[in-house]
Amino acid sequence: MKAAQAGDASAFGQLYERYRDPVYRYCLTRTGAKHEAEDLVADVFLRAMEALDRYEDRGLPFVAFLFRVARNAAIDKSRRTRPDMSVDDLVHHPESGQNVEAEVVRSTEREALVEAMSKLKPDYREVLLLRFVEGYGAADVGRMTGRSEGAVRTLQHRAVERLRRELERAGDASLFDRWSGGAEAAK
Amino acid sequence: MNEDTLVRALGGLRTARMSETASDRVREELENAWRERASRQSLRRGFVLPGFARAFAIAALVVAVGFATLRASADSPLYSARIAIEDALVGLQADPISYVSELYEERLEEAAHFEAAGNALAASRAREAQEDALRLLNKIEPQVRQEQPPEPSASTAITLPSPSPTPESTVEPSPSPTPTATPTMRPATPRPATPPPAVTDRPATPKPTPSPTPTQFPVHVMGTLTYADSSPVNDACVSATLDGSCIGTQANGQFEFWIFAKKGDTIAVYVRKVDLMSGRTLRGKDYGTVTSPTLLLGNTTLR
Repeated sequence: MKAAQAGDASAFGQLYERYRDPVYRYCLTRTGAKHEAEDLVADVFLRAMEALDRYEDRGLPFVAFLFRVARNAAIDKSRRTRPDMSVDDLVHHPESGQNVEAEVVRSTEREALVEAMSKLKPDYREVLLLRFVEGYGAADVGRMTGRSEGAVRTLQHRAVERLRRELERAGDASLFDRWSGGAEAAK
Repeated sequence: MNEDTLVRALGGLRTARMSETASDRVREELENAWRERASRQSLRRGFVLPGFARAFAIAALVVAVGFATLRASADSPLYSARIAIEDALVGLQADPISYVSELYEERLEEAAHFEAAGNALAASRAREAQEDALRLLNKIEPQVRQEQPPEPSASTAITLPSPSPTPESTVEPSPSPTPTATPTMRPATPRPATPPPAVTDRPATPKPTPSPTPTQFPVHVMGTLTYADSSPVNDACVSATLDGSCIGTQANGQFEFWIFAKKGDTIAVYVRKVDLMSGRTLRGKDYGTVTSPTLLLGNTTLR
């Protein structure tokens, strides 16, 4: 980060390579459409580049800064254009012919999950993404979003509950049976 | 379907990746933006002054602008700023009357200068500024007058200009289109026959510096006259001594005349008029202390 601030282009390139996918997933859950998410990723890194001189390390991971930029960029984008949720964009296309059946299952699950998530409030979507997709702790999410740890836990609980209801309403709850009885729960 | 199931299913979304094609496109876009940013920054760095040099440049600029403003003449766009600053400084003066008098004289001289030069616009701006100074003076003067002794002593009689073949070193006010500075009436005392030198050739106006023997300067004395019933008096004789010769006439209830005096002199004005109906002489008097080139007396009632 410091090297990038000092003007090292390759350092900024490394930051991009390292964080593009988390930023992409963040953008994807915000926009719901693959192409819009890709455009948003470009916007996020361009904004981050412009803000590089003003960036101060406040003990948060750099990705938190990127998420904040992404959040603002997504808000600006949604103000400009009405987001057009395209679930097809989110369907994962198998890259090889191997294990095609498993890929189709995963793709169906992801489609159902993102469709349900798209019906949630942005705050719920964000907390689900940061906590369970990106795997940040409640305290970290709290620092990233300006909430207390307790508030994040409350929000996450409500978000999961709302997501479950959305999936049940759509009749997709049974798709996730293979995940039940698994390992650890979210902390 | 419980919460744990859902949470684990959400974790499955972690495998979502940006496509390489899109990633390459974004990378290229970022590389271009980085190059632009770098060239912009190097351009900016070329113009950046070191901190002390910047502070020095700003300070020098402020001083230069301030200096230029305070020296701005009436034909300068900074003139109104100068007048505003000068007027604002009145409150900070230990002797506001002398300060405003100085301002008045300076502006009077400036107006005369521009009139002589044929610059009517600048002259009118200077006149406005001069009237502004006069207004300030009128605001300050009553407070000072209240502190003066009520009766003039014999030793503080007015000083009339003595006939002299050479003009006084002090500046004679030039005629102007504004009523405040137009000397419509002159003292009865004969003036030098020679015309006053042009303003541009005149020596600089001596500033009223604290001195044990202040110099004389022309004072414009003004006031109003009414009868006991408050109706205005016309054609009365205005003199500077009791039953002295008339040094000014007056009309429409107002009088004015010019007189040479020093700062601190008390000028007494005696007015008389014969009432044709009764044959009685109505009289009135007023007085004031000279603090500036203009002495505004109040209303004098003839009884």
